[in-house]
Amino acid sequence: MNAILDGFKTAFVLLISGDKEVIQITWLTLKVCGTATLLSVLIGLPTGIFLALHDFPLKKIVVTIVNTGMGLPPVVVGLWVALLLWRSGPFGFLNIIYTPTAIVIAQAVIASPIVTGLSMAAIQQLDPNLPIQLKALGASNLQTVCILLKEARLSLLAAVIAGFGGVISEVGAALMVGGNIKGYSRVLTTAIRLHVSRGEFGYAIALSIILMLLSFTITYILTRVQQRRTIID
Amino acid sequence: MIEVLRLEKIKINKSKNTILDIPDFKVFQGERVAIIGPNGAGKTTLLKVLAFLEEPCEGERYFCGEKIANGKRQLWIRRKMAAVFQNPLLLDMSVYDNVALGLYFRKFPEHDVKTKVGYWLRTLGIYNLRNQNARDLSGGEAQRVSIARALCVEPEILFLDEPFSYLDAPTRENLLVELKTIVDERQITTVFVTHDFTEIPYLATKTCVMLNGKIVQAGMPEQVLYKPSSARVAKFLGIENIYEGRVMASTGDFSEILVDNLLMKVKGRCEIGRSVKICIRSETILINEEVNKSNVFKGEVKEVYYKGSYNKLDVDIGIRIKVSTTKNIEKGQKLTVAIPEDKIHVIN
Repeated sequence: MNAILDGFKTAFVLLISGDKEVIQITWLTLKVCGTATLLSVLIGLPTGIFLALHDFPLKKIVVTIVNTGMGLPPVVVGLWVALLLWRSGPFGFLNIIYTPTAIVIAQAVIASPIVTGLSMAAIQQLDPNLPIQLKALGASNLQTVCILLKEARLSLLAAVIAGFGGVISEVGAALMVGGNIKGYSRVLTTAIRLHVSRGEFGYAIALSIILMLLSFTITYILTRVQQRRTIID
Repeated sequence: MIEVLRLEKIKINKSKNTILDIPDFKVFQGERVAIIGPNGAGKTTLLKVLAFLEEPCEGERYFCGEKIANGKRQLWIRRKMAAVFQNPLLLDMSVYDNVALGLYFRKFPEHDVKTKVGYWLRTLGIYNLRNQNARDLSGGEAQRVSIARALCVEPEILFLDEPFSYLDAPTRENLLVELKTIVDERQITTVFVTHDFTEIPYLATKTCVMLNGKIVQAGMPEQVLYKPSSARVAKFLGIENIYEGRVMASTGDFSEILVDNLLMKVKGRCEIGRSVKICIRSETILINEEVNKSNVFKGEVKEVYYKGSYNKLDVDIGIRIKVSTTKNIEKGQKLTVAIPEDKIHVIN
């Protein structure tokens, strides 16, 4: 019990004093998770829309792979990304193992299937006759997709939120491909894990509070956007 | 007349079944074509093919004589058309924006959009709803928005896919009257799909009956409604009195057909001895009015079905015959049934 109380006290001091290391870790986490989420949206959204709107041979297999990917264990992703980026691996020449870039790649791999699967479901939830009705009103293919995105925006933002959630809470892959190098590739989750293993609960609690605040703030902003309803005067 | 749409040897196959088989079909400028048929007959598929919303597996489509392949030309043609569907899928935005959608797609200037949308909102009596979210409307209001949305783009061809089937009777009737007035005034070529054949004489100038993906009969509405080409078409058109008989005599302009033990005189010549089917619309049969000397039969009312504005009688005249009447008739009543000779249609 004392350890917890001490932890909270240390956390309070660290947060109030604006510890440089804490700020650096938080900023890196924000950059890495933001980039990974953006990448996953850039990959997952078009893929999800394509899968929702087109039929092709082996579609069911592709959808099954995407759905399986939604539950990919981060350590497995970490292992495979590490193997690929390892100096002797196929992409070793890039020299990005144990860098924030490697964490971004691993996290994007984790989040992309989540965004893809949920985007696909979001578009499929719309009435299947909607694209035809839009085309009957003279919409081009691009205009049709834009309207579908607008109609499915609530569910699509939920997909983005889920992708971000998957990225910011992930520790296994970030540790394996990022190396948790102090001042370079240490993010909030890997730092928390390190401090807990050392018994430094104050530091861990402080970082966990920041992580929770960060997660809440970004999710709150996305939720505000999601729940906003356009009223035209 | 100018031909605006033509289908040639169109086929659509799904799961090894041919769901649409149209060897030749034309729509002329200013025509109002009704496509009728039971569920699953291929009406909506035909409408989608005509409106360039579905690609046929085989065949060619022509617009104003020009053969149309895939690609941008189709978008150009689609922008000369508009459609109203059974279920108006309005978007999660204001009524104004929903009505303006087709104009936005065509990149009309904002000033024109405002004028056109305002005009159609007023014409269809929904101007007061313009700021309301379209998802909060009643079924009738939503369908009005959908009609305004289609008419706003001033289409050369208007497609209607059972637009009134989800609406209650008074709303349906009001909208039908308003739509007919607009279509008449603007001379819009219209193709509409329905399974409610009471709408046909009101709206259509040409009627096509579809069964199993094929057009089995096409012609003027009265011709189709009163002279069906087959017993299946007759049944679909709500003709309950369909009988098999044999031609006993054929002299002058009339023939005599024996149906069970009743000899019926019909207009037109038939081959003597041939087995034929005849059909009689229940509303053309007269009760207790002996207008002709022939085809007058005594009978007894076996059942009375109250249909609101009229009664449908099941009368035993030696054969069972259904009669629609506004007269107050009771079950068990004895009466005389007269069938005008020209109202009996011999199915070839």
